Amino acid sequence: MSDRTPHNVPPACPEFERLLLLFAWDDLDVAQRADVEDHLGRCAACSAALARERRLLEVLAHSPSADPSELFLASCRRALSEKIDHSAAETGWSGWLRRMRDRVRPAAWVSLHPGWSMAVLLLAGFLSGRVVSQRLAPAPAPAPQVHTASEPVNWEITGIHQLADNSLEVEMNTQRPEVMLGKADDVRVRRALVSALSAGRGEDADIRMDSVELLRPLRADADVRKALCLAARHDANISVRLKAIEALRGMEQDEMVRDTLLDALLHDGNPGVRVEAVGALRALLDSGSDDRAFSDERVSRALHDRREKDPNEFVRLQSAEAIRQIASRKAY
Amino acid sequence: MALAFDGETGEPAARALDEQQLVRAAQAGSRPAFDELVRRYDQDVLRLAMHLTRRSEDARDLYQDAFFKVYRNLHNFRFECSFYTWLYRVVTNVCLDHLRRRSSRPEDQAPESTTAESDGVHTDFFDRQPAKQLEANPERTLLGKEIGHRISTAMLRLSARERMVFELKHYQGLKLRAIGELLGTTEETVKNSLFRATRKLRSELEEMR
Repeated sequence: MSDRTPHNVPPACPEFERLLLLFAWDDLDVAQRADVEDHLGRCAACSAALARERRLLEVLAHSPSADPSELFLASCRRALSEKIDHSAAETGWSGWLRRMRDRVRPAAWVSLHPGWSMAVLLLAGFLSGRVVSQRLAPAPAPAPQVHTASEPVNWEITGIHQLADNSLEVEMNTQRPEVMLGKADDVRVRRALVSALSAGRGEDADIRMDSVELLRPLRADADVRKALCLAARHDANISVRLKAIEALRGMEQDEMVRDTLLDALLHDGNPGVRVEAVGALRALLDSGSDDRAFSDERVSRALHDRREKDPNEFVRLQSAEAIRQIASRKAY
Repeated sequence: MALAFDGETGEPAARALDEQQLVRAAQAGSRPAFDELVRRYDQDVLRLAMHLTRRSEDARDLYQDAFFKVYRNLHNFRFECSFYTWLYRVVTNVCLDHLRRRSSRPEDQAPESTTAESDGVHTDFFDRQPAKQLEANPERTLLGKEIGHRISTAMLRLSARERMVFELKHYQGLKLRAIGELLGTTEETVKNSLFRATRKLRSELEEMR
């Protein structure tokens, strides 16, 4: 396999070649990073090589999403559960019989002694009818799987209704329709709402909208924030993405939230979502509550990128304003 | 979404303790405890399997094999590392075995044709990719599909280990040290695999222009 650089492009300095890749991936220690930054300031070839590495990583980020759907995950869980049940059964009495049968392998003996075989088989049948059935007969048929509201397993939420006392009624399809009652901060209800949001697609975006709304007051919870971030990044519905970013306001100090905002700002195809994302970043800078936002290079890079390239004028202006905020903070 | 990795995410002590209790209960034979452990990590495991195989059926098999192996060997877990690390060692081993088996089957290795036309002028493939946010949505979708197709084809050229390292680094966002710990190797070896993988990908994507 050739390891080549495109024609007419000067190669990076050999001693920095590997470091540049790790620099692009932000996986260098402080000293190495400082060395690379120092060198980049003086070496045009390595700067160009770094740009190529970053471009490669950006292109590779296009790789089609292979995120599993909730239904697929549910079917995998069911299959695993069955496999484990089966294996557990294999270790019981019937499993012992099966293993013994496999060990004895009577086929060859039977074919050589047909008369004796018949007698032995009749005797074995009689004995097994008398003895074995006494031990095996009480074995119950597998009980139907019952999902109670306290332990919904493979659900699909079909409706959310707010009741007079602020309780929620969450309708679910598991293996049969069920209803769960409780407040939004009830662990079970919260898990159901998070799960509804995680689906990210499907016909009923209203349910995901409701879930965002109901989860908003609970965003201090890490699982809730994670679900909101997922929705902001990947939900198929623009309104859900917008609402999710709105719901994350005030949580920008969380690195996961900041990454989500940057991702939305850089990659969301909808200008409204990008406006919301840049607005949230500006609010974070305005609040001055998190110094890391000012020194985070990714924030600066994203804002510079949007200032230059975003097709939406408002996003460009807001990005420019945010860059000014960062510059003045650094100068101060 | 990146995989959580204890030590990097600062997993709360309460959760870790809770997990230890769950593992002990599962080791003692509690099926609900084992199911809870599965539910904690299985979405990430399935995502990893989907990324690596790009086939639902294969991913389902990997998921089952990995967690079944965990179920059968849980009694061997001695808390010398976090449960997460132990689990992912099992998962990555199962995935690596699968990738190695698959790479020996030529029917799974057929390069797929590309639609890009050569204009006879050598320009960098990466420089020819327009900024995706400037695209109208249908074009962006098409472009995404084409690039995704090319990347999937290019990935087939990587060895199983290179692919695993690249996946854990690029798509799961793990640090090299953490990847080394999962794969039972040194950070330097991981670095070498990652470097080779990236060179190959660049080279393959260039050749497909």
